[in-house]
Amino acid sequence: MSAVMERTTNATPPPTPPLAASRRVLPHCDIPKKTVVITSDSVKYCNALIQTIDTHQNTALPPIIQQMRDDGADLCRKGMVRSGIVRLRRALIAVKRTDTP
Amino acid sequence: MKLNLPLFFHHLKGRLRSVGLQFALAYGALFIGSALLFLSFVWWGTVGLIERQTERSITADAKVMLQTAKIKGHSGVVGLLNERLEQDVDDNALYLLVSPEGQWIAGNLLEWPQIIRKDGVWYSVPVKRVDLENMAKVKAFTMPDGDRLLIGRDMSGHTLLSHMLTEMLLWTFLMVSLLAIGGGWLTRRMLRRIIASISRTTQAITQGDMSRRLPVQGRDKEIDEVAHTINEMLDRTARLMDGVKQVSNSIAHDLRTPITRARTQLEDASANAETAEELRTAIDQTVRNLDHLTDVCAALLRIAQIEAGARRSAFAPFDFIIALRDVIELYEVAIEDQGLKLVHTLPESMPCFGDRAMYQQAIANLFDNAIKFSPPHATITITLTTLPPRPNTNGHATMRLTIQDEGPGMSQEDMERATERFFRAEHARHTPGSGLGLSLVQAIVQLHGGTLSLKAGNPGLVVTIENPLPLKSE
Repeated sequence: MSAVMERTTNATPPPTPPLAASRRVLPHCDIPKKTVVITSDSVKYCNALIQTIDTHQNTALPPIIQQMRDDGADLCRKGMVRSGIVRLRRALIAVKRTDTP
Repeated sequence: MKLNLPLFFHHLKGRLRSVGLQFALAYGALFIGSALLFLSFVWWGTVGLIERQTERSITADAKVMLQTAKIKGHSGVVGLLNERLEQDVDDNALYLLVSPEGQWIAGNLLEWPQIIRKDGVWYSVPVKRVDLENMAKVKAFTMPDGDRLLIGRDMSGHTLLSHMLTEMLLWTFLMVSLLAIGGGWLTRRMLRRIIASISRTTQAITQGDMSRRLPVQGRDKEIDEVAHTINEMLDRTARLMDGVKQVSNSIAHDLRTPITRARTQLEDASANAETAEELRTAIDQTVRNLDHLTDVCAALLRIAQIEAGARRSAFAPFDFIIALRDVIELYEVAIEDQGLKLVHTLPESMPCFGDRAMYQQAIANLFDNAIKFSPPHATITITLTTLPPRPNTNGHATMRLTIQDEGPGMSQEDMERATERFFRAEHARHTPGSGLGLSLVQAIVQLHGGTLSLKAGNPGLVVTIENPLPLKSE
């Protein structure tokens, strides 16, 4: 499994992997449509994104990006996970752009 | 209450035979059809467009993933997948990579949806977000190493728009349907009103009231045109019926006299002739009278034939000047014998379309009259001119032939009745003739689409024939 989860440097944190018990194999028979859970809508993913932003750059973040990061973290803390994640994603894109020479 | 289906369908069939209902249904169908077409276009241009764009985006995404798998292998795909999720600011991307055995490898879906079995097929899958449930559009792909990749998009925005548009289009369709029904009803009502008006008038006419006419309201050009045409037809029918009545009366009156005279002559000869010579003279006189009767009947038949338009098949192009000169040549001797003078102003040529012999007959009749009523040493003037096209002639030029004599002329009252069959002006009672000459001329001119008019010449009478000339291209 560690090979599967191998990541490149500064790569995006993957959404939280499901628990081993809930991992499924491909279905064999006709079963009515069942709702599939999206795992990237979680505080855990929020935190993973924050961590990636924080570890991405050694120097201090530009103020605008820092503001976005803080806003995202704040929204996640307040329970507005999807809005927070979007804000953090924007911050991460911006960080990557500042990385690009 | 039990519904009698055959009776119901019989009634329905009967109702559908109504032109008004057919018009209304056609109007409604056309209106609703157009609205459906328009709404379909709106749907295709909005919801359909978003759906097509989503499909294109997923397809492009899959292409990049497969290429990455070929170049960088398994780890490359995982990295790219995570990067895509990281940059998904629209927050609608769905990815899931599983091993050939179905083990979760990467992505943001908890499990492989159970309904997805085939690659390359579009599926709609219900997905659960943190706050709500939506539908997602997804497609499965098999990677070169056997892993299975699911790429999709959360369609919540699309679903919202789709619901909104569906509701809007349904309301629009409802309103359009109401408008179509209303419009159809109005169309039917309007048509029924027009037909009822025509029906009332024709019923009155059927019952003998020939004075009734369709109302021309000036509100609808087409309907007014129909009313005009029907009214004109009725006017013509009334004129023809009057003509028939008058002709019947005239025939009864004008033919009775020579028949009575012939009978009297024969009776007298039978009673009083003493020699065979006297008897033969009386018989010859009677035969002449009966020949005159035959001529009158032939003229009447000819007029009837011309008025019925039966001679139109003999129409052909001809030069009117040549036809006119032939008649003038024929009458030159008679004109000279009477001590008259003929003056004519004619162009070199005038291409015309019609029955040449008939036209010559008409001109000969007019010459006959002019010669008959002109005093000695008088002048008969013939003028032929071309009038330029006028607004009511559909681009046709008009030929105008004028024959003027210096005879006693006619009173206004006589001129108005001159073209009636057997009509003879007061001063013409004692000249030979049957009173059918001008009727024949009138019939011939009308057959050619022209007009005949008489006016006082001071002195004499001016007879004018105006006839449309063929277009140069014809």
